[in-house]
Amino acid sequence: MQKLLTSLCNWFKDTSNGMTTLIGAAGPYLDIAPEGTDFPYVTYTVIGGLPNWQGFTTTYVARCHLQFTLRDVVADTVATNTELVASKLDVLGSLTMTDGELTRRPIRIEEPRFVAEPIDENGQRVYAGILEYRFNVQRTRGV
Amino acid sequence: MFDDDDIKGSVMRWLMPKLPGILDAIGRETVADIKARLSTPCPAYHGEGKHSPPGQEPYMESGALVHGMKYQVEMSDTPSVAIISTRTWEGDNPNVPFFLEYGTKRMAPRPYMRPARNRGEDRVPRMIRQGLGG
Repeated sequence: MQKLLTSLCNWFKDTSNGMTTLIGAAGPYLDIAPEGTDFPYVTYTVIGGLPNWQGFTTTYVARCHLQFTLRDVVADTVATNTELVASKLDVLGSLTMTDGELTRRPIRIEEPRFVAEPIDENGQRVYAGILEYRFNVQRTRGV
Repeated sequence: MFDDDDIKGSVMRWLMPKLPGILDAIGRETVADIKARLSTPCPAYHGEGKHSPPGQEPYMESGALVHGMKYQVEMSDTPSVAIISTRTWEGDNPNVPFFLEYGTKRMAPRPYMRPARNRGEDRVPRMIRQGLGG
C-alpha cells in the first residue's frame, strides 16, 4: 500500500503530467492538509473494506480504493481541476512502483461529486471535487 | 421449442417472488454490519483521543448516526433495489453524515458507507445464492 501511495504522489508531482499547480505546495496530502495550506490542493484517503484477490499461484492482486479530494475557494477552478485529474487518471495505463510491481489501469467508481462547505459566518465557502478510484496491484507472495 | 421471451418469462416468474426476501436480507445484513462498526464508543471519556483515526469509521458520540441507519426495499419494473441510507435526528446538522463520509477542509474523512459497500462484494453474491436456494 505504501509503495502505491508513494508512486501516486510522485505521479501527481511529475511536471510532465501538468498537475503540479493544483496539488498544493507539498501535496498531495494524506487525509487532510495542514492548517493554512494555500489553495488549490489535493488530499487522498484510503477507503477500507476491500479484500484482496487471492490466487493459488504465487501472485495475487492487492486492491485499493482511494478518494481524491480537490479543494479551492473558486468553484470553477475545482470543476476544472477535477476534470483534469479525472482525465489523467482515466487514461493511466499503469504505475510502476519502486520494486517494479505494477498497478493495473485504475477504475473510476463514481462520477465526480462536488461539495460546497461553509467555513465562516460571512458565507465564505470552500469547494471540493471528489474522485474515487480503485487500483489493483499485482503482487508476488513471498515464497 | 422455446423462444427467448418464453425463457425470460419463466425465469422472471420463478425469480420475482424470491426477490423481495433477498433484497430485504441484503439490506438488513448491510445495515447491521454498518451499525456494528459505528458502535465503538468514543474513548474521550477515558482520557484518550476523541476522534477515530482518519479513514476509519467514526466513533459513536451522540449515537445519532448509528440510530439513523436504515434500509428500504423498492420493487419496480426497473431494477429493484435495497437502498441503504442514514439520517440525523431532528436538530442535528443534516450534512454531518456526508461530511463524516467524505471529509471537510478541517476534518479527515471517516468513511462508513463505502467500506460497507466494498465488504458487500463478497457477502451479496453469497446471499443471492442462498436466497435462490443455491
